[in-house]
Amino acid sequence: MENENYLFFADGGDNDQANDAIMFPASRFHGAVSTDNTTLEFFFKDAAGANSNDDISCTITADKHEAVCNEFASLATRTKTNTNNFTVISDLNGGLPSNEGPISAVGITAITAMTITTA
Amino acid sequence: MEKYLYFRKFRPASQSFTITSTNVTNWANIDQGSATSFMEVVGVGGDDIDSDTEIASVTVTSAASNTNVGTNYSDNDGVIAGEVTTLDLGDAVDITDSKLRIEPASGSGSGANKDAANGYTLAADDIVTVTLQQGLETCAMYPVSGLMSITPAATGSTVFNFKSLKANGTIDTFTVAHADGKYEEIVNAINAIQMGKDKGGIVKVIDGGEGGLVIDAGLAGCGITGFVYAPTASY
Repeated sequence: MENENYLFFADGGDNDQANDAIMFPASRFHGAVSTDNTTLEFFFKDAAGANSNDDISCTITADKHEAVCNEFASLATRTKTNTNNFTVISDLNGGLPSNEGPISAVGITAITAMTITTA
Repeated sequence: MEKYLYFRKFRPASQSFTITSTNVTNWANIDQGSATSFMEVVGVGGDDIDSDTEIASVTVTSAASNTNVGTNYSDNDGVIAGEVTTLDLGDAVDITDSKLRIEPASGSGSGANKDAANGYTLAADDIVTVTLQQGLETCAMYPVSGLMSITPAATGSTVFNFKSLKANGTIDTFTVAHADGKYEEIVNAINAIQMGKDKGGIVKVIDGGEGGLVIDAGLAGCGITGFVYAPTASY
């Protein structure tokens, strides 16, 4: 792993099944697009190099696409020098054990649900 | 540090149509707005409106008493003059190529052209008002590192080509409308944004959200007025 931001997403599962959670280097981010009034989808270059990309479809507060994009951009570009923690874009888990690791932030609060789809 | 280029269409926006007697004749027993004369939304940045997700509401202000309205809008006694009815978006309203269509409540049309519960048979001088919201592909954000090229398309039109969101080896495009002769100014501004040492964040190439137009300071003199977004298809 190179010295860059790593972006973490987790849905409401317990991080114990495929697509419960995922982490990407910020450099693999391809972009985000609205798909309806309460949905914003984030796309990342697929880890396996598949032709299609990985998709994090997030349910957000209505009309907050710009605010979520702005917060994502700030998180994805913040300086991480001399820290070990990765960057939580959204962690919707509420009951993980305290020894689960460095997950200590919920991330962008306007994200209320998500579906992680890998290619 | 990575920068993110942000594009957002003009939303919210609304437009009203006053129905004419010719409209009523042309639309007898078919989806109203679907032929000969149209309820076409214009002036919201140049891109076609093709998704019902972009519609926040459609209302009809009745010019006179009208009993040919869906049963969900009345107790079979219709609406009165001046009454404002908010149409059900799920069943009776569609939009394609920016053209709004409303199913009538009555008539001899087929099931696809008539909805006795949620349709509304328009009459002359009724006023239809559609309000648009953020919806399918109305805003998008791309990293500057995904920018593949910027090419002129016409004297007042420039195309941004990005690595596709969804598929490798393809591109997503934004065709930006601007004042004539501004191509070099645009590429200079994007280059300055990319090379800038300011903190990371989104750069608003064009942001038509929340009732106003916001453009990055470097692009402010380019006369940007709208864009057409063409991402790789399907989700």
